[in-house]
Amino acid sequence: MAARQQASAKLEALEVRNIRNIEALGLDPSPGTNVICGANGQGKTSLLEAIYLVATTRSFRTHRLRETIRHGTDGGSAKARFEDMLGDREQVVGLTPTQRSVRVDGQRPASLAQYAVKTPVVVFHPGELALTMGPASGRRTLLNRIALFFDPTTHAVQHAYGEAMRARQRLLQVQGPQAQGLEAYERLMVEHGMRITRFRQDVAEKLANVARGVLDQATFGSLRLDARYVPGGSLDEQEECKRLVASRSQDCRRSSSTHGPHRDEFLLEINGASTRTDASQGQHRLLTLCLKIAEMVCVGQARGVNPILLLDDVSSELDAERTEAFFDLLGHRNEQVFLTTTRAEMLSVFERKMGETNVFWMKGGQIGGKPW
Amino acid sequence: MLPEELFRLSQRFSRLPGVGEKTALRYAMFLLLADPAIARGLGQELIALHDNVTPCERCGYVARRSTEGPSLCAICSDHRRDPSLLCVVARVQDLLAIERSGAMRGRYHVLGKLLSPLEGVHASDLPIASIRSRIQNEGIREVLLATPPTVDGEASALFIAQEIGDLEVRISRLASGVPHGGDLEFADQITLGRAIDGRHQVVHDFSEKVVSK
Repeated sequence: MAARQQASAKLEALEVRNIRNIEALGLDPSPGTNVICGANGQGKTSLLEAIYLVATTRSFRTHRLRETIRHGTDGGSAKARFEDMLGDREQVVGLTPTQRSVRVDGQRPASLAQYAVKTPVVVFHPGELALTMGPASGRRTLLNRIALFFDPTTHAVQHAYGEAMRARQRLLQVQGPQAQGLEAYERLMVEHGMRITRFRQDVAEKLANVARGVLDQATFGSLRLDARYVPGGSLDEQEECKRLVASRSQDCRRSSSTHGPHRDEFLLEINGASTRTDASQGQHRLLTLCLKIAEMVCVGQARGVNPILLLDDVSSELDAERTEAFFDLLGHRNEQVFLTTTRAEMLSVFERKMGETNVFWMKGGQIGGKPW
Repeated sequence: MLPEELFRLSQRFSRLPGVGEKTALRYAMFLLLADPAIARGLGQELIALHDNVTPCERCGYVARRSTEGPSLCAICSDHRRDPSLLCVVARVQDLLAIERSGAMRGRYHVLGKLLSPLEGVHASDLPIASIRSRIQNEGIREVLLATPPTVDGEASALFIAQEIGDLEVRISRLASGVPHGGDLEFADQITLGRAIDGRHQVVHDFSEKVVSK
């Protein structure tokens, strides 16, 4: 695939303090495959979470960052040295219950969005199945996340759209459909909404193309993916304005408007049947995997550098044969990979599929020697 | 622990913007320990402030209180100002910033607030009627909407434009662009994008003026 030849982002060193059950931990990973092995609840996922946090300022487990701070402490931090073809840099994310501070080489970045696209990271974790089974919001988040790498200003556009919509809803709730000033906020919703629609449409097309190819390759052409972006508003500015005006009285009783990009859907169909309702468990797993690989390729294209891969417990639900198939599909790239597992017997599979692996044994939030 | 007067004074200082409890106490202690003339002078200025200064009855900027006739500010009573151009701003501080640029020849109207349904500011709170009556009575030909480029600022500008759209007046909006004397590489992406959207055509015959797109 196209992303295979270009340089990859690498994590060279990591220091974690008071994140989840990790009190203090230092890690010097290898530039290739790193396996974090240990029993349940020993801090493997927390370590991946810390890597994700320092790269993106967010967590893939929760929206409330204060939950990631270790109990009984008043703040946590993750500090990393990353390297890509532009050289190396130190990134730090510090958390307190109310604040998040971020630094790149000691400097405050212009915005969080700019910080979050510096070092691309793609994570696979068990909760990711919601991507194909769950509500559309998860798929919109996926599109937004990829769009950010193509254009970091998309974040500000979404923020402005949300603000305009909330203001309109409040006006409707307080003063009803005849409220003065509604039109002003509706025009702003349409203006920002159109930009959201355009970038999501663009990303959805790219993502669908790659995902289709991967699924085709994985199933030898027996499963055909049809992925379509279905906008929640109209593609025409005038039309969208009219629809907002027409839906005012209906929207008075709702918490958000009936039309607009906050109702976008990224529709997934396999062989003509909607995956949300008709796909089997196995198909959901496969499709989620295809979408994540497509995310990886798209982010790689957007940034010109392959993302770091975080694979959380991918082998827990798969038998050895399927795990092998999973890694075949992932392809052997030059990305830096961090994967967690509870099953020491899988190490040989990882080694065969991913080349030389560097194993870290984890116990009680610490990296130590092999415990068994 | 503190004498009541000192405590009350310090409490009052801590209500000022940007002043916390420690700074407030520091101010109060300074006024106590320094030359008593400073504290007395300050007190007299504070008493005189509201007796002598009031919002301009026409535009909302600050004016000397007048006993005969309406209290007008220095800008409204300056006859060299272009009466056909009206600049609408959100706050007095915005007016001062525009005045410092020296580029605004017209007069102003200070809204005092921006539309913000989430903070309980609704359309009826904006002084639309007084802007309309100024347009009708003062021979204004252009209204420049200089509200900030935030969602509430944009919404207020759109709303005012809509409310005065039926009057014969040109309505314009502040342009958005890169700072003068700055390097393009340091401009943020949104500002730079807007600067490109609002680009101007350059006429290379210098006898003509640069014409906007």
